[in-house]
Amino acid sequence: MDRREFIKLTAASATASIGGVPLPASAQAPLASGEMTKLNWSKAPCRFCGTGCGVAVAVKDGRVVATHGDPEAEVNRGVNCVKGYFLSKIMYGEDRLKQPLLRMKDGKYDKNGEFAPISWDQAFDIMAQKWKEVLKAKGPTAVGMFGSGQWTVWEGYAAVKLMKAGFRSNNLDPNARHCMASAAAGFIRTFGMDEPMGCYDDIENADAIVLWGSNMAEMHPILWTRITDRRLSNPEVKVAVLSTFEHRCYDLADIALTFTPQSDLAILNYIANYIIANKGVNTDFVNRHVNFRIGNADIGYGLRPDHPLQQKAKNAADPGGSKSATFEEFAAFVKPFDLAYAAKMSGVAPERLEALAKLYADPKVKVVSFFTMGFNQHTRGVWCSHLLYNLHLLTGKISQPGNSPFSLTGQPSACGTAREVGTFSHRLPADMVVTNPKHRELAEKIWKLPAGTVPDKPGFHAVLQNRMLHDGKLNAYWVMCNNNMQAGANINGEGWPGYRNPANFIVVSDAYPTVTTMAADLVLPTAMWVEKEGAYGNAERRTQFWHQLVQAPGDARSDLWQLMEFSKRFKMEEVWPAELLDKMPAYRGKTLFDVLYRNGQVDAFPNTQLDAAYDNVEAKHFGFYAQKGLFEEYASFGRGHGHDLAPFDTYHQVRGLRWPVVDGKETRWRYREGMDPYVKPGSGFQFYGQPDGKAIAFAFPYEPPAEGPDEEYPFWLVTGRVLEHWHSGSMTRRVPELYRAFPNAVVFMHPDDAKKLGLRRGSAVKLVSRRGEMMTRVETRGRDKPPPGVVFVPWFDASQLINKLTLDATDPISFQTDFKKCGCKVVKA
Amino acid sequence: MDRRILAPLLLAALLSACSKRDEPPPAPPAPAPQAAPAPAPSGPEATPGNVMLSEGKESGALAGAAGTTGGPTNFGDPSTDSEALALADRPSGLVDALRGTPSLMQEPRPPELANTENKDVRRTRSYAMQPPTIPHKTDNYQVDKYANKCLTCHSRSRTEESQAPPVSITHYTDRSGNFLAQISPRRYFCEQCHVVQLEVKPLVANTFQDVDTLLKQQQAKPREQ
Repeated sequence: MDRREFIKLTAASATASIGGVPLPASAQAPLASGEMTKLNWSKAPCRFCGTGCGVAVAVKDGRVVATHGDPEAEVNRGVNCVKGYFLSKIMYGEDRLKQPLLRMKDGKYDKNGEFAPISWDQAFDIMAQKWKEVLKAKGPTAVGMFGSGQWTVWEGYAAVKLMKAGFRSNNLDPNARHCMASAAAGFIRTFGMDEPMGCYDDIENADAIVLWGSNMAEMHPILWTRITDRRLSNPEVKVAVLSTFEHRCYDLADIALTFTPQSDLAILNYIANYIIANKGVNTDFVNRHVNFRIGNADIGYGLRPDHPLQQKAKNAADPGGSKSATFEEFAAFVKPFDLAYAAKMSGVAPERLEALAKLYADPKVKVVSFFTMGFNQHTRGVWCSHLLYNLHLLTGKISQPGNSPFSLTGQPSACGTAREVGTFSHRLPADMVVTNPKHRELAEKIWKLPAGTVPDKPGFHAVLQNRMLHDGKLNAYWVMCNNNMQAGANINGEGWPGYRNPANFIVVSDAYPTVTTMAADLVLPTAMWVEKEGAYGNAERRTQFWHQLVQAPGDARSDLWQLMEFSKRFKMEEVWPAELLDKMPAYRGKTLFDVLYRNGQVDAFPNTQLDAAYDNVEAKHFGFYAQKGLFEEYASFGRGHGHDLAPFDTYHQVRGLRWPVVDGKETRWRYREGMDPYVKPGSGFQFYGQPDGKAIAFAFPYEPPAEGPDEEYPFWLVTGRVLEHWHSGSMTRRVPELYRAFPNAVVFMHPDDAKKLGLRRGSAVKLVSRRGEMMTRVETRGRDKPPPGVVFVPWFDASQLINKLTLDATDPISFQTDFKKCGCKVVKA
Repeated sequence: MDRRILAPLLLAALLSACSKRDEPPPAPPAPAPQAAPAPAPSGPEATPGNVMLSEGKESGALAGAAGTTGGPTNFGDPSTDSEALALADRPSGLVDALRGTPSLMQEPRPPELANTENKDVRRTRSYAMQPPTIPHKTDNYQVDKYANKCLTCHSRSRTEESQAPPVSITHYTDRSGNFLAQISPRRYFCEQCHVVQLEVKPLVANTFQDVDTLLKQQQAKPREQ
């Protein structure tokens, strides 16, 4: 309706009422009666990034009708970004999956059949049959699961139990491997414990904010509002932005540094050298709280072992190795990284590098360093985070308000679920690992399992899972809560042949059709966000809960329901060897469901404890408050060990709490006396994750990337995200306003590069790498402005699979893929 | 209706939106029947089996990505590999509407870059708290720490000249809820919440129903009985 029609209609109504003509119901009263207009408002964390904004959600007649920034939420205080404001619509895409779908031919499963709807019973029948066949033929290492940092805490925890204790397979990894595995490895190696020591309050306390490979203006917009607030309210505050191309954060930058890909390693070492050379070292802090080590160099690129780059790497077998060093040896190691070298390597003007170095070296300037995918998606991502910690440790600028090295995450529960619950192939809850016998023993004790249940070898990580699918060594595979066919690197080389390998049965649980469901054999329809009760943990260690507010459509069920219900299909005799079962004869004849979820702990809380104001599909189905039981059992891993979580019910009352929560109080800055209850009085600082309480500064050199531009493929290809779409876009591209704001991916390139190739804005081009190609359009005037020689392509667009081009090289320590560096060419199409 | 008629309505909505800090604002009074974007009204219970199953009519797409796949492609039995891959890329009946093609191996030609809708006509919001989308082009707008082009029309003091809606009263509060003399710096970068709309049609309809639609349904119910 245009303006004119609107006026006419309004006028018509007015005339009609004067003439006594009955009006249509909608026009009878200007306002509906009081009761009717009441909305039920509840709190929930946002479904998207790791910032963890609080959202107020309005429900009427069983439908979400509005969402807005929760004014009570500490993180965002009433503001959302454009994605958050449109959360109301993410569940209402018309093509929601509502029934299980199986590839069939002549009424039977066929890998090359066409999808047809089946019941949940039939779905679990075929799934259980495939799992049992594979377990019998090849054992636990041939079954696997790819989960998510979007899983709720209890979904991730239920999956860990099902895989590591039930099927006895460590082949469980989250898509968070693509997102922040490098940051996690760096934290654990330097501090002995995962996750940031500080919190978002650092922003309001900082004198300088430095972004290392983090486009917060688009990817963490609400934290960017806090940084903008800090910078514009306090003109003396400085913002420095480091990136391989210019983006929206540059609009606020006081120091902008666009560097050659991979040269961040050289810049970081230069700053360490500058601090030492210019008496910026906090000697007292370093002497009391820091150990030094020199790490192994030449560690390879996480490629297949037969790749020439792997064969050439001297320390490919021991990428994490290091040897003890003195401060003097460390200083000598970084000495060659002078200003001239850093400027030459990075292409950044020397005065800008020096201005940045001064922020770190000046003892009066409090510095927060944020890092995200530019650091993490890097074949030396773990090194990057270590080299950054070095700057904060040398200067003692850590664990105090405004002084923080700060890793941001891309998913709403990358911290809460992937890391804290430990859904990685090497991890167990609360920072424990499967390779440590004491950790396995504790897990088995808490889970009431016989010794030796949890396997002691790490399973296949994300990239290895695709390779093992391809090689036919991983055959029964469940993908839940992610879109890895679009998100994973080297689709043509590994992902696609892996999923379509006739030896494999691929199950994908999702709310919507995605390219991953298209590559699946069985698709399970899934309840999302406020269609279930949930908990997420954000990037500042804040655990946040929400209630189920609406019903999922059709037969869609939550991941938790799917995991627990599937476990009923297995008798213990079918999954455990007789020797193991002999140690616990009481488990004979029981199901995985009985042993894992009806163990007297997970089922300890009756449904009378449910909040009567909200539904809970899972609790009603299973007959007990499963979310509460799973959470409390999980929390017992970390309580008293620096990972303390509050009681379950507390989280439904508050807008999240930052762990460790001790005596009802959250912890904002860890490792600092007076702020963290775990720090011993008199110590000042104590990095208690390490046995001697000292953090480790690691020395590493510069090493080149796995692949860069050359004559045939002359451009650096950098991939990433945009503000309006979240990751693969399966939710946000179904919201009309977000779709229309940024409908398709483009290739951002420098106008001079375009001109040289005879291209202009809007030209159709083919992007080609050694591994694949895709088509897109040229953008030379967009928000992202790459320097000559660099092109940037966002990966949200299912019709432009940029990951056909990317290289599945990983950091050899964290196994996280480098999505930011490979060679490509641009050809007119 | 011109902007002047709408203004009091908007103001009322704004005032009600700001009435209580700790309580989510109520929906604004519905001015008149709205032209809802009206996707097919399909309640979850009304369409039990609304799966995106195509007829699988499209053939072709069997050509593999041979020549571009650099990685190893052995399924254990290399002889069947390329055949299996091609077979696997046949239409499966399940299409992601956001991809638009049943093939995962063939990359489609991208649509032309669309223009930004530049009609300067205000759009109906889906709910009172939705940030309005931008109904005009913003190409080459300078919004950085030196200048904010949006505010040259949308700041309170420029309203009469520009006839553009002044920024919402919510934009004046700092993190603690205090009203400032000017727009809060945390609301400075407009495009974090307000986005332009391109002249494209959504690929998938969205069945979100706004609260007025639900109210109308509710009001209509007693009469039907």
